[in-house]
Amino acid sequence: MIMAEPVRRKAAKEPSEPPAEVTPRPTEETELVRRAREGDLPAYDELVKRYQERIYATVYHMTANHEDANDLAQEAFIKAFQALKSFKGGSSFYTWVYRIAVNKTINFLKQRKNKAQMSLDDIDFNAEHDPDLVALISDKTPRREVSLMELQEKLNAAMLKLSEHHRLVVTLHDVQGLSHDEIAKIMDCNIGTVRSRLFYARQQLQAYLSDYLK
Amino acid sequence: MSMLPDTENFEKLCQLLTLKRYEQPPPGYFYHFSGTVIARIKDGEQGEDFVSSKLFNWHDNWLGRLWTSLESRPALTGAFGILICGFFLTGIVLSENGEAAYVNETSPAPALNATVAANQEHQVQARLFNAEGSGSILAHTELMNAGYTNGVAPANSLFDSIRPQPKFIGWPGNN
Repeated sequence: MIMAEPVRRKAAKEPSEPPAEVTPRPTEETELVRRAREGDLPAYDELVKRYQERIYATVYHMTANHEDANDLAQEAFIKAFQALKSFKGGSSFYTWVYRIAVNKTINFLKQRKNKAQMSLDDIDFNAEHDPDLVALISDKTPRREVSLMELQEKLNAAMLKLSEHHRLVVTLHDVQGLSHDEIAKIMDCNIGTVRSRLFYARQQLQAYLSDYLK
Repeated sequence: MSMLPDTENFEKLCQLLTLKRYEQPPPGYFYHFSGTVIARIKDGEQGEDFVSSKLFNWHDNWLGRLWTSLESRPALTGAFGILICGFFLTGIVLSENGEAAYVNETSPAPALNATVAANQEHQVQARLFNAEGSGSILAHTELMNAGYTNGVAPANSLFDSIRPQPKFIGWPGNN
């Protein structure tokens, strides 16, 4: 409950901006990683706290299921800790953890392909005041709350229709606000691939959600 | 017409996608998250990852592929289930028939059975008496193990091979 508040305040302050960029302080992070590699759990706890929200959010937007996202995010951090010795430091710890979480999620999604079930998180009440969303829904429905929930379900259903890689690109770029370059590092592909996937995914989404985008 | 990915008109879609940013886990969720991760690390728990990668390795091994294909095809799953049930039922029926046939083959006629049983009982008693008289434990246990109960020799059972065999226990030189 205590930790939920900063998220809400952030959302209220910059409602239509992507979540703030993670700007890891390299020296401090390197030191934390070094200590964690030596088995210092408080140091690793600090690293988990830094990235838990973004890792959870990415996995959640990929799975559209809170319970799955919870399990996968936890397992990603556990696996990262166990594999810390193999972390060479070629990329930032944050990119590396992201890659672990993303690979785990994609494998998981391939397994459960035929039984996808949504278990969506509640929409923060600040969404009602988002000018973009208000503009989208105010023309059509007087009952804004119901409409937001309906939009949420339609949007998530449309996202689930995308392939895992296309969904990931949309999640990382349009929802999480990562740059093409960061996404390319996480997905281990080149920027051109990221751009083309993003374009294709948006086209698909636009087609699925055409009724809500007129 | 501009077809570059970033210049295509996806403005309304991007507006709609902002809704995703407002989906939040239950209040207090992140307060416990890192603690749970650390606790699981301390416990040495490896979670689903361990199960999937070490035991089943769902995606790579044949069991995982079979499971996945069964999950996605209900008809195939039903057929597989029927096959397994049929296999077990056949096994049960065959084992019962085989046992009955063996008993019929080995059991003598009832009238003859009584006299043979009486004769065998007398012989056993006599041998037991001799065995006790000579103090040979081996002879005694051999007779008891032979299972001459009511004069009917026991049917061979699956457990014969694992039944403990008697060993001679006596003083050195006492044959």
